Amino acid sequence: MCDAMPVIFSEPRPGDADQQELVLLLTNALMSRKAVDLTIVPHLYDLEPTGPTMEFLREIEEPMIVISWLYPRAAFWTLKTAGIAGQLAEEPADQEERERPVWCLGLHSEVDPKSILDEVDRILAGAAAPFSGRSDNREPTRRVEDTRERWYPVIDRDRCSGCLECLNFCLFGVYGTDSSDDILIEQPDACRPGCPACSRICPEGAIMFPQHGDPAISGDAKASLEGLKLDLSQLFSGADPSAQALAERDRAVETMQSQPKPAGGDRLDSLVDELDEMDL
Amino acid sequence: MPKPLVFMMGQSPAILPVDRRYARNHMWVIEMGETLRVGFSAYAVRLLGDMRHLEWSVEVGTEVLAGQQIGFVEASKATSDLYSPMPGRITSFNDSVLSDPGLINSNLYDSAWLMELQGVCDGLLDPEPYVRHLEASWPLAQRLLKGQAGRNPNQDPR
Ligand code: SF4
Ligand code: SF4
Repeated sequence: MCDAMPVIFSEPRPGDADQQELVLLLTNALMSRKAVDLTIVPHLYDLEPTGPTMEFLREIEEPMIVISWLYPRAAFWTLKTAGIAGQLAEEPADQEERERPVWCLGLHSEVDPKSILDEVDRILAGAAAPFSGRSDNREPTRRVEDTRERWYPVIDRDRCSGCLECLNFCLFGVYGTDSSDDILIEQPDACRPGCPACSRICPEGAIMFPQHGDPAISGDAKASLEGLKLDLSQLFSGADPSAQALAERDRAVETMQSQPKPAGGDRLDSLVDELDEMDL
Repeated sequence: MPKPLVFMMGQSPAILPVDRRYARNHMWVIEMGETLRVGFSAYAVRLLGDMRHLEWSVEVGTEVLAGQQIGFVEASKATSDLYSPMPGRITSFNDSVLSDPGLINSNLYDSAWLMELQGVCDGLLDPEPYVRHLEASWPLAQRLLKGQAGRNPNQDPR
């Protein structure tokens, strides 16, 4: 019998006071539960697979709970890609399943902390053998690692069909294949920060960019794939694409100049950057 | 039949038969006596992916203008409105591609034609000029694609 269940709590990226407050509230509440063995780690997505924190996570063999600022799917496949075994668990009953269950709970700025704690309690209550509970009164364990903000694709292997469209599409050498021709994210850090292009190209909706603003791209399991499709009407209207692209760009620049600080400014900014920087 | 032309879209060849002409909106046009038969070029099909759904917003008999919107296509990678490549009167739509759009992927230059119309084939390009049109516009088409694919940059603190 174990005394407590490993609960991994991923910190947010630095900077947001509201998020920090939520972290404090949740970690305190978790520590007050004797059946929780809490470890606080840096932002999951920013961890290097070869770094000490992922190494530590790989060594955990029991069912565990991972709480992070990522959608469950994104968190799970980020871990799995780093060699952390298990299956994404949804119900307490999943503890009976073949692979070690990993429960991934997603945080965001508006999350109700109670819903997270209820979920943790539900999972603890459903454990195969009840926990005896920690006897100590210690602080949570903190894994410290120097991280920087990363940006790279995460593949949901349950969805990926192995078509290699992403490999053919990406111009930055992010993708490669292994010896059995399976898709591999060979150079994650060659990915262009902010570029989610290949996630829209993947026919299976298997590619996630967990830090992207669109839920369908950042890993919301329920967000529709249809929303990801490109609208090529501009190309098929018969107008010369070069004229179209330039017109788009001019419009973008104009809109930016005419609106002092538009809400959509960053979007337009990035569209213009996209047009400027893309080295084709 | 003479050898088709090939335009390389990155790694993927787009095959362009030389027995027909091409519209700038990536449709081919072939004369069949009085009528002109129209279909997608391989370039269009490659950009769109596997065809899933095709619909026309005009009826047989309609007089259309060049560039008039006449339908919509949804494929695995993209969607697009469809536009008439030239002015004329629509004489028929191909029912078999309407019921099985996937035919377009397997047979785009033969049985998977899209529609027929009677009109003047002004402004169409011969295969070589069409390839030059593709060459000239491919980099910018790519940028446009990526520009669109790159929208919604991350603003979420998550
Ligand atoms: S495009 Fe999508 S389905 Fe195809 S190999 Fe890449 S991730 Fe897998
Ligand atoms: S997002 Fe862009 S740069 Fe990154 S892997 Fe995909 S296509 Fe390549």
